[in-house]
Amino acid sequence: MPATFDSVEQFPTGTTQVQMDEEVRLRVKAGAIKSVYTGSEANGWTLTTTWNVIGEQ
Amino acid sequence: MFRFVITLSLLCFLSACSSTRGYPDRPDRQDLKLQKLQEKYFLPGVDVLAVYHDPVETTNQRVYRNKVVYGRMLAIDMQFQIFKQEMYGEGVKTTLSLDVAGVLVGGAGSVVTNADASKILSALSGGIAGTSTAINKNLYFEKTLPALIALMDAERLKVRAGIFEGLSQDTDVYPLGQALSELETYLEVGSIPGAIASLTAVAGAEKTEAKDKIEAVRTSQFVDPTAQKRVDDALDIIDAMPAGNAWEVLKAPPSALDNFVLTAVKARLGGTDLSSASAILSGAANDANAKSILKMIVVLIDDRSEENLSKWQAAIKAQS
Repeated sequence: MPATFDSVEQFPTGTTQVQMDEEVRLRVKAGAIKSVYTGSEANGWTLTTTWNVIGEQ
Repeated sequence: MFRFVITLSLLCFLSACSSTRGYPDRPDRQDLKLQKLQEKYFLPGVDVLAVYHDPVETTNQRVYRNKVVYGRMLAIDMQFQIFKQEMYGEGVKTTLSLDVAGVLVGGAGSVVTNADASKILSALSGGIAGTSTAINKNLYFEKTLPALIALMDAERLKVRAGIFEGLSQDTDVYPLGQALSELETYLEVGSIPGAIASLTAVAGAEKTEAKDKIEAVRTSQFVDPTAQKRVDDALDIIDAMPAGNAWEVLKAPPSALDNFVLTAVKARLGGTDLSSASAILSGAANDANAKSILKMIVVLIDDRSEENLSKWQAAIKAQS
């Protein structure tokens, strides 16, 4: 059983970098280990967030 | 009295000696430098992302990004150095102060009836021999701590290399938000839990391969700033909920959870469905787990319409 897992979210074109930064901040605030995006406003974004599995280290 | 003087002298020697901390005293004031960096880059009032996105305040995003990242990285490095010194110091002091003191008190006790100098030396010599047994008792500490620190150093270097590579690129490829997220990782791998996680990863290479990936496609409604603000507010309310109440929301969600959220929650719970997670989420003892799951749901739930988020906010407030 992995101790972490990744959630991957695709965001549409037109989403601004400021909005992506806010999504990252919200996930980290909610307890994500890390949240990283790639892409651009013109091509859309992929946000990958790593979460811990509760009860495992 | 004589025993007391000898023991006190030796303990004073041990506590004053830099070698008990494993590091020499620094000639400069690291605490003051660290404080300045914290004031500049870390205080809640310093919203570096807002400055970064403000075209008036920041004419060159790349320069600003690098300045912030280098500043934070330096602060993290300094804090890590202090952390290492404290760990070594705590371990060495605990080992020597308790074990050696115990042996030396016993050794000095054997001479208290006779103040002859040769016997004092004999007792001290016996004390030194006795410490080898004491040190063996701390073999676990001696072997484990350096290994953990070496692992932390290695993992920090890896993350550091990635950050430096990112900083060599333009901000459209490597924006500040991404750099800040990787700085969080940089901080995390320099901790004991981070090192243990790395150790686990090394021990089981399949861990990386086995990583589950859960995917969702978002809409423009999802990233609407008003919706983001509602989610942010809900997170604050969850944090302030009385212990045990987060589970009350989880066991009767105010609206149906979408498949992405259900899958993510199940993965987070190590394969357990939310509906079967009472044992690990209910009650005050499991409050941190329950809040963690509730916050993840609020952030990931796909329907961020005003109607749906209002339902969640109302349910959360009802338990606050």
